[in-house]
Amino acid sequence: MKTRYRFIIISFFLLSVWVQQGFPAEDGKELFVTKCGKCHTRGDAPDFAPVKYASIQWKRFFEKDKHKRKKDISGEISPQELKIIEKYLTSHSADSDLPVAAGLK
Amino acid sequence: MTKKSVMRLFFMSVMFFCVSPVIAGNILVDKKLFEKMYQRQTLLEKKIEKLEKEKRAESRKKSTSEISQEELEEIAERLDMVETKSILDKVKISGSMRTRYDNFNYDTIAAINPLTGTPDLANQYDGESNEIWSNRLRLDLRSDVTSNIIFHGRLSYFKLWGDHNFNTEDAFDGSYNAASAPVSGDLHVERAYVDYFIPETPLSVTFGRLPTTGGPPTEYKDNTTRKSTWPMLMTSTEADGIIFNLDLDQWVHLKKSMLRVAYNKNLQDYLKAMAEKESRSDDTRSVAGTFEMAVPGINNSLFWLSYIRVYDLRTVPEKLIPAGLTIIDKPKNSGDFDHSTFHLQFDNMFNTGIDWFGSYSHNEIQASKRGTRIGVGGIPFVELGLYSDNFNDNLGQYMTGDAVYTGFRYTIPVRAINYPKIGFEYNRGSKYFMGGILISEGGEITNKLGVHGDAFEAYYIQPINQKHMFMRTGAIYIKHEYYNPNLFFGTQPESDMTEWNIYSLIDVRF
Repeated sequence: MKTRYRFIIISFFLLSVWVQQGFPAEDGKELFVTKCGKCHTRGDAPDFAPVKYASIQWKRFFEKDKHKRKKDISGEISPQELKIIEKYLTSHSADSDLPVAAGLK
Repeated sequence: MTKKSVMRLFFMSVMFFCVSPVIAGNILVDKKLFEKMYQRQTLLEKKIEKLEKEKRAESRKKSTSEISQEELEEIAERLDMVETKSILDKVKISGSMRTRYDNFNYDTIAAINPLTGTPDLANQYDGESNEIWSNRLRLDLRSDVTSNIIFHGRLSYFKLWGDHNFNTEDAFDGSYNAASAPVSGDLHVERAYVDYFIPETPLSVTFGRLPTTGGPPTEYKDNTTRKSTWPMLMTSTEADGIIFNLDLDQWVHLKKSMLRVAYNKNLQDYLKAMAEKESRSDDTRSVAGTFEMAVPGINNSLFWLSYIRVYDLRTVPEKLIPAGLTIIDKPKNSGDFDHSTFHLQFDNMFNTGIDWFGSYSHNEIQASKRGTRIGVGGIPFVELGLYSDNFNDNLGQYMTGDAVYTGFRYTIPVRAINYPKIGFEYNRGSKYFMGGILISEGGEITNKLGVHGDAFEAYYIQPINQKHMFMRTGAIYIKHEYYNPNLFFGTQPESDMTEWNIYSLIDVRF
């Protein structure tokens, strides 16, 4: 029984190591925290979350390039990174299908 | 002639001499002086024009700013109203409405022996339930009381259409499967809990009726995101308790990592604390330790390990005793069991549109040597324990059970038809797997995960609206190896029963 148990666990681990090679590296949350969090901070954390606005508001924000009115960030965030951040913010917005579990904000 | 008249004559003569050359022609005008005067006049005109322009602009500006001020005041007034409303709108409501069609076909079902309440292998038959319709409503509530206190609730309704003869007796007092039994038209509190995030720490506490039903990988079939804490193969029953969460992501920077310790009470004999001197039964408690994280380097993944110890399982519920029989005596509990689960899940594997999951569970049962004695007129007829009875002389035996659950979902990359999905699932439970603690995700009548045998499911998801509406059609085939798949009292006789469930549902999310 123990051998079977071990075999299954080791197989799962090997599978996970093999599988991770094929995953894209983009991580919207990380980009959001590192890039946007540089200025928008309270303590160590960003001072606003994706849930602050609905997806349609985030889309409008990026479409109209509203950030440019206050500060031009094109030198700090590339258009490709901006797209990843936009995707993260719209997919985690106030009206999105958010994940639920104990202790998740 | 007066002096005054002489002066007048003199001035008039001078004037005459000055004006007469102009009348006579340009010849007598100083050209340079004239150009100078002309330039000066043009300059003055320009200056006047400029000043007038400035004056007009200033006056326009002044009037505009006066209007804006008025408008601003009006907007501020409106915003006040919106703000007041948003402050008072403390609860955000979302949910889903589902209508489902089911068709069931059974082969070789054993009739229940009315004397023992166990399957009668000498009396087997085939059966079917055609055209079963049901509705399911879920109202999900969320209130951000403060930035670190969040309330969550879910009110559920799941009922067959119209009048029906579905068994409305709830076998257990705890109603831990009420949201999954299609009996009541009432709204049922499936979840009601608070997450309290302790400020400036990675700790949080969750208490109340917890998010423990319909966990991973149910979201694949439901075309949504994760909606519960435990994976399905660990348990999917409604539970009241407390969970202490330690967000390791902030500490050790393992992405999405969380350590949890949970305490639940599954049965409370409240009369013990009142008049009765001797307690009638022990309370059932469970303690769980769980760890989850994203597999390093893979964002959309879930790695899960958990262990639960359940102390003092209840004895046979009175509601399960066949009519005419009574409980003569019973131990204070049926024993203990522990349950370990490993779960792994990857979304959009290799960026190919394939989602995959695999779960494995192992449980060990330490059954009580005494069972619940059931009989007539004070004479015991049968003694039932955890997967054991006196007929087979196996009361108190040590048992282990295992289960595996795996499957995948593929998103068909055709935008024109809203990216439909196909999926396949397989699960197997051994003879002593504690399937009784697994209830299918609310809204499904078949509890395929509680089976002691094999179960297969294939389904097709057609999104009608990418975000708000989808259809799912599927088929479940179950091959039972032992009877009594969902409860755990009495020895399980071997079974050849097979079951087909063909279904179709439409789900709207709002």
